[in-house]
Amino acid sequence: MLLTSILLLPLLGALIVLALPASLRVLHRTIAITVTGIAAILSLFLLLGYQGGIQGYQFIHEIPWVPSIGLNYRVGVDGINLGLVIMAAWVSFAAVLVSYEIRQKEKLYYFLLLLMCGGVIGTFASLDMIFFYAMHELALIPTFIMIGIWGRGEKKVYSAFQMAIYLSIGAMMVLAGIICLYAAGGAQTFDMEKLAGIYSQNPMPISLQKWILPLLLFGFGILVGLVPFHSWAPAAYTSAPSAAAMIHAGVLKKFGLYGIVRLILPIMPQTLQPWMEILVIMALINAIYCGLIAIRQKCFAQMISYSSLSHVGFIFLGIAVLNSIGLTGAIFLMIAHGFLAALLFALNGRIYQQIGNTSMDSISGLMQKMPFIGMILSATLMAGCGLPFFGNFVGEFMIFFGTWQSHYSWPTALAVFTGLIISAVYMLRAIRRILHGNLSSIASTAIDAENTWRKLPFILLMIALISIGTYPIILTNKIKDPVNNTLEPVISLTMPDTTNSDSSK
Amino acid sequence: MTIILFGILFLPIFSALSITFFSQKHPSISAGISIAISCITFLLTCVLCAMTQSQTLPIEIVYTWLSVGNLSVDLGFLVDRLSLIMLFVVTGVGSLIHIYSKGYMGKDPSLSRYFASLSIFMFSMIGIVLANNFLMIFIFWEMVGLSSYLLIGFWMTKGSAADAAKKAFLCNRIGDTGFLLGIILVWSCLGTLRFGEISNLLSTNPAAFSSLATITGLLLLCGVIGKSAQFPLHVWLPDAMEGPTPVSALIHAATMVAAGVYLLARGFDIFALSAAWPQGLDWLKFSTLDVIATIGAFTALMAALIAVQQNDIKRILAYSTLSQLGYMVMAIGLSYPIAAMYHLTTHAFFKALLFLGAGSVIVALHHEQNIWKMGGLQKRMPITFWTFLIATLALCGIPPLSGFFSKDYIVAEALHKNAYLGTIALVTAFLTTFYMGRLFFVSFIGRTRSKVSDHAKENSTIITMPLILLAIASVFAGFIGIDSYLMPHYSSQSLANTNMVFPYPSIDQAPDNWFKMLIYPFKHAPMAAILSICAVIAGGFLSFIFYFNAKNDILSSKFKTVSLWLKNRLYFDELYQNSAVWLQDKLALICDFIDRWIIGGIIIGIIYRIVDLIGRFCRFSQTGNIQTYTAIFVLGIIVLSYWVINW
Amino acid sequence: MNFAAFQLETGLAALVILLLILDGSCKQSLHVAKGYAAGIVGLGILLILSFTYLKTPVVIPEALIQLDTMALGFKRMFLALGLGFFIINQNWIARRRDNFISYQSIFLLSLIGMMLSSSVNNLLMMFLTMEIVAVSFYVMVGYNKKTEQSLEAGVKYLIMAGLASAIMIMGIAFVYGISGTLDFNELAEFTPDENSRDAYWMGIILIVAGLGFKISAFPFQYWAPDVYQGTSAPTTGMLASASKAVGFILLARFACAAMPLGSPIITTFWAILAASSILYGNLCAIPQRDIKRLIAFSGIANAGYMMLAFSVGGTMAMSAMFYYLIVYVFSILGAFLAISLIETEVGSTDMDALSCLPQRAPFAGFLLAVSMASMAGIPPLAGFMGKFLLLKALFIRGMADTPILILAIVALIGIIISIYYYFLVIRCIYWPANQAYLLRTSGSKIFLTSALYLAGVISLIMMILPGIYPELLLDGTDWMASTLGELLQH
Repeated sequence: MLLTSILLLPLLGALIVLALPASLRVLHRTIAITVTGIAAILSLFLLLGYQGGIQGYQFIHEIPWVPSIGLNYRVGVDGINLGLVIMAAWVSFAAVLVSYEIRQKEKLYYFLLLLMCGGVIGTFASLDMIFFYAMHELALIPTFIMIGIWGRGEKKVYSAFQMAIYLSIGAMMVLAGIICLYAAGGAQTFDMEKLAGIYSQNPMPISLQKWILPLLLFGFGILVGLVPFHSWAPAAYTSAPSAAAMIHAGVLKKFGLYGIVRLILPIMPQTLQPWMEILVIMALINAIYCGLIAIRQKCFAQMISYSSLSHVGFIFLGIAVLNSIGLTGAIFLMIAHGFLAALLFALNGRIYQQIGNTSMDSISGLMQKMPFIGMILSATLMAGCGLPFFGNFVGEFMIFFGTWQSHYSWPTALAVFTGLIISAVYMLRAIRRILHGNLSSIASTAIDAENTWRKLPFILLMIALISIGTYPIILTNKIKDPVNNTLEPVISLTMPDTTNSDSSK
Repeated sequence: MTIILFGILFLPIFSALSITFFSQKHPSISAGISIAISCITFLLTCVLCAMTQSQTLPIEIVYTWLSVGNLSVDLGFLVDRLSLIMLFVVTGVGSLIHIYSKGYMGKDPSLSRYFASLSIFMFSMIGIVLANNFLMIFIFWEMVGLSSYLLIGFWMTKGSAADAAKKAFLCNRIGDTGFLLGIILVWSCLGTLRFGEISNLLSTNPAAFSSLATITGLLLLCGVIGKSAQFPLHVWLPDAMEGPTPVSALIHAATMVAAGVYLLARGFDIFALSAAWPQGLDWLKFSTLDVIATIGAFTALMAALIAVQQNDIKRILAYSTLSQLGYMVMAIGLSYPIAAMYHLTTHAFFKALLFLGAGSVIVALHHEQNIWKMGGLQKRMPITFWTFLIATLALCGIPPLSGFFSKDYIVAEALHKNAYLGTIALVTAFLTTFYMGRLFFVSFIGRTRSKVSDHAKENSTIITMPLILLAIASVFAGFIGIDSYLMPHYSSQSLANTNMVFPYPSIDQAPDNWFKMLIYPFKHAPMAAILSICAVIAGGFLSFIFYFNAKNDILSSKFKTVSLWLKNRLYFDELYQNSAVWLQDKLALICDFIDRWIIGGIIIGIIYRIVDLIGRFCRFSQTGNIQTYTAIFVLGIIVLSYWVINW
Repeated sequence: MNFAAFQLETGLAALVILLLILDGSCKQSLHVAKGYAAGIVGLGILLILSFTYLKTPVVIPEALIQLDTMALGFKRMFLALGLGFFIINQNWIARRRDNFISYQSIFLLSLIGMMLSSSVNNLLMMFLTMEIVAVSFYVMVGYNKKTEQSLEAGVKYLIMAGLASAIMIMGIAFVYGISGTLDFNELAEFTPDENSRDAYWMGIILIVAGLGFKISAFPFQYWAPDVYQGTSAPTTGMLASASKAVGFILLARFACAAMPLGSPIITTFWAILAASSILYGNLCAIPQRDIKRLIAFSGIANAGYMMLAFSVGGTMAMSAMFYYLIVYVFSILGAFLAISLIETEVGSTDMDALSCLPQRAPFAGFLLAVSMASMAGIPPLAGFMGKFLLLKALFIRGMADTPILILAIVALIGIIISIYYYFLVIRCIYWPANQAYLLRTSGSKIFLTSALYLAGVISLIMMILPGIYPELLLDGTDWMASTLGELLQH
């Protein structure tokens, strides 16, 4: 019930907003803040109530939906999605809080935004594949409309459509893959847990795996922005209003990564190995290539979009190396990067709102005008280049260790190089250009966050980022058991005789 | 004990947080908090030292910070003689500089930010010192990098300061890449990251790294090169002088840059492994220590040379720091970590003093840093003058000041083991005296060279008090037996595979009073002691001739080319700018081009056009002509029936 | 013959007569209101009756007409749809100050034909009901006789529909001549011998072509865009929804009876028709700027999706197809509510004209956007569930029959393309795009009568509720498809 209420609250809020007349502007905002705030606080009870050491899902809530075809509403969390659900709830709350910048068509805006919030929470809470997919789409479509109505820049129409097409290609591939999983299982169920159980008993025929796996992998890959299917991301994030970009880049994009962990790893271990070797290379390309592009960007929003793609490369790498350290790191980094991306886009939105553009050529010395925003921005960018005590570092170093453990020596070196140097180059460049130096005339009218309400979203996200960075064990201890279970079939297949290195100690 | 350790580590970060959240707008309160806490950590360190007198070292206190698979990272404290002595330096010099900062930075509007950053630095540095494992060191290593970044770029509106901060951070990051890879290698070969366990494992099985030993050592060395600003990553340290002078004293002279040496001493077991290369690379015969010694010696000499032709008082000191760090690194390379740590300690005192003295001059001269605009400060600033003199002498290695002893050990060891390195050490000692003499004669002695120096006045007690205290330390640090204190740390460990030569065969034979201590270098290695004193005298004499009451730099007019090269720091910055930075820029340009035009433009454009074209083509058939429609209708039926019937 | 099978149609006929009587009895303004009210109430009562009184199928084996589960289900659909279009028609007529009764009674007559068509169990009745519907539409398509476009559309429709009817009756003659029966149940058990096989199949394809015209399947779709564009919006809506539904209902019954669905040749046959319709419709829709024309092309593509079910065969696929069809027609109802408003108020159906909707008629704008999203298959709207069910059937078949997967890929590509142009419509509604046009079309708020809201709500409920709670409709379509199950077993 707890999970259901967390994900239903924003959706209910959306309906209430829809029912109220458009003239009650303040009320729409108040409702949105209230429902997402309550959802965010409730999500913490998940963390408190989660019991470690128990196999399987917890907080399960199940309602038969379409029993005739095995479709049920079923939500629950285990270590893998626990953190993601909490992250989704808090980022949603923060996204609603930064939405004061919206001054027109508030009713429609908050309706769409609350749909997104409910959608992202639902995506990660769902244990049923179709709900998983449908919630993702529910959150995706508002992004498109929001870019169109409240978006920025002249290319917003193009970016919105580019995003819509790319993501529908990805989503359709995923949908096809999901239906194939269902059809090949022959058990009339869309339940992830049951399907994994079925396929561990009777492995899927290799002939089917051979094309379902790439279908799902690249479908998810497109949704995450795997190079070369990434062009939609920088364009869309640059054009999107802050809240949409925050939720999309921070939370929704993790759908694909989470999907790979949940649907590909446990179900198709037999054909995994060669694809994962390819994925390692693609992940590195993502990290390095997008990182290098980020160095060249003049627009801050473009830069953080590419940096976000570069970080996603690390997550892919953590998944692709197929060991528990890497995968735990990947999941940890998903959560950390969620907060980070949300913060970056929120800050970008604030700067855009104050100055009217985010070109790093024309803005400088902003620290003098916006000490609070500047401080948060520098801390966030520092977190982005993997500074310890921020969540990203923990995830990244686990991924580096995991990569090495799977005997990928050069990839480890390249990943470390990218994580430590390339990211530092562009992040520091942004600090130098935007915050340091003389105050440019264009920035002279900017004002800092006025009051506590304005500061709150930044503070909340920053606290989240720091607390998981300083006390990571609170998440890693919960992540590692389900991760081991997920990887069990893979490891038992790849190393049948030798004791695997994870259990040697 | 646990409480004290926690207090030492976490009080500074508590100070940083409380300043950030509560006293942001009250500079004096912020300064008060920060100073008080740094002094408390110093007191706690003293208490800790007292407590450990009666206990067997090392003491390890471990909490799990993260544990996944076979990767386990601790929040662990390792208390032994090495960490205690380093802790003493960090908190002691740190406290004095905190106090000094109040005087130096007093009027700055961002004083709160300054002290918060300084507290973050103290936290990070103490973290490095107390860490019991490599990853925890790495974490605080990065944090130190951050605080250095924050403090170098403290005057962020100044473009040069912001650039210098960025450069420092990036250079450190380059080194850290290797460091982290080295840590990963250590973990994958040994399965642990704790220093204690690593020592034990290596003493029972020196071949645990098999063929990766030297590579691991070299990778770890990268971190040291970055942090301790050794060649080839030394370029950031001179630029770092853009930060406030107390920061230069604390971070870029006394403590942070010494962290690299501390790491070398800490992980000495790994560095000391004999050469082992994987197949294909086994024609490389040298071991990690060889590389360390070479880099140290080269940096020492190169930095000393560059220092000779610098005119900015802080830059001269910065290159001097580089050079001295080179000495320490060379000492490690000669498998002599005690001497390195010894020199680190004494250097921390007198180099901090030199910087603080320079800062005092800079304040008095209204932020004039060019030595050719100073002069005649002897009467006007007596305390600064005398303390600066003491520090200079200590740095040059005049007995009985502390610098003499620590440097002599290194020179003696170098002469003993490798004539080339010994020569370099002596030449560097000569150059050190020369450039310090130049600095001293030009900026303090003689007539005043500008109006500002004419009006210079001695600073208030808050600035001079730390100078006096540090001067006392610089004088006496040579006698108090730092080396013999450190000895048990290394003799207790099995270093059978290294050929370390102790100054004393055993701890019992160490000189037991200060006089024996004073003459011990001459007893132990008379040749080295005498040679180094000769080098110092020669350097001092030459600089006296050239610069006493000089109007301008004779060297730069006589040896124009050499002087130009030295003035421009051997063009390292330009070299990097035109190679690494250029390469990175071009790579990024290529990627951006591919993304913007090939993936974003051509491919997407082509797909879009094809779909669009098909759509338009299909529309052609929609003529609006009813005859066509009927014809196609009938044609469709014919084709379909033909096909179905002839299946 | 049992009268029960005709009860609803009889009721409708009574309603038509009532309207015609009202026509002559009162003054203009008053009788319009009365007739309008009577129509809504009458259709409403019939709809309620169909759910309460006529709950169970009435099976009369010897009759030409069956009131089986499928018939019952579709009669309800047609009544609800009829109610909606009755209201939309009224709004259109009121703007034109035209004769109210003449148009609406023809519309109700066509509704009788549609409802009858859902009970058809016989080739002859199939032709008959099709003609009832077609003849009514000849009148309605050409009704707007003052404009040239409308006349052109009327003529085109007349000629093409006539051709289709002729071809179909020829096909019926072929089939009857060889099998000697008109009854679907008997046809299902008939297999032609070697000599007559070719002619028999010729006949079947001719019948399929006739029905393919109705559903505007490739290559029988050419009339649709021109006619849709030329006709007034409410009629276009009916052409796109009700008329198409008639085609699909008849096709489902006929194909299940006369074609061995699931056999390789039939699977390929339908696969090719479906794939070409999907690709043609979607690709041609991209460059369209007229919303009615766009819906015409999208309708071709949607026909393609539904034809996937024939390619797969089996009750599961049929049930999915019914689900899709029902959701689709109500999406069209919602869309044309908005389009007819645009057409009457702004006088243009260019997509730029849609941008005035959020200001002038926000509910209609929302309705159009939702119906576009539903047709694009965005969860949680019902359109998603429809596509999902069809794809599910397709993939389950594809697990055993790999070529089917190619068809699935084509369907997926089609869906992706369609998202582009459906979103284009949403964009035209909500994004402030063309400022000049916005100024020209801006004006006072368009008044929506409560009846229009009713029609909109019917459409909204049918687009949202089956998506959120699919069981509601899925149970019904399963029940409806069970009728076909008996035919399919042969």
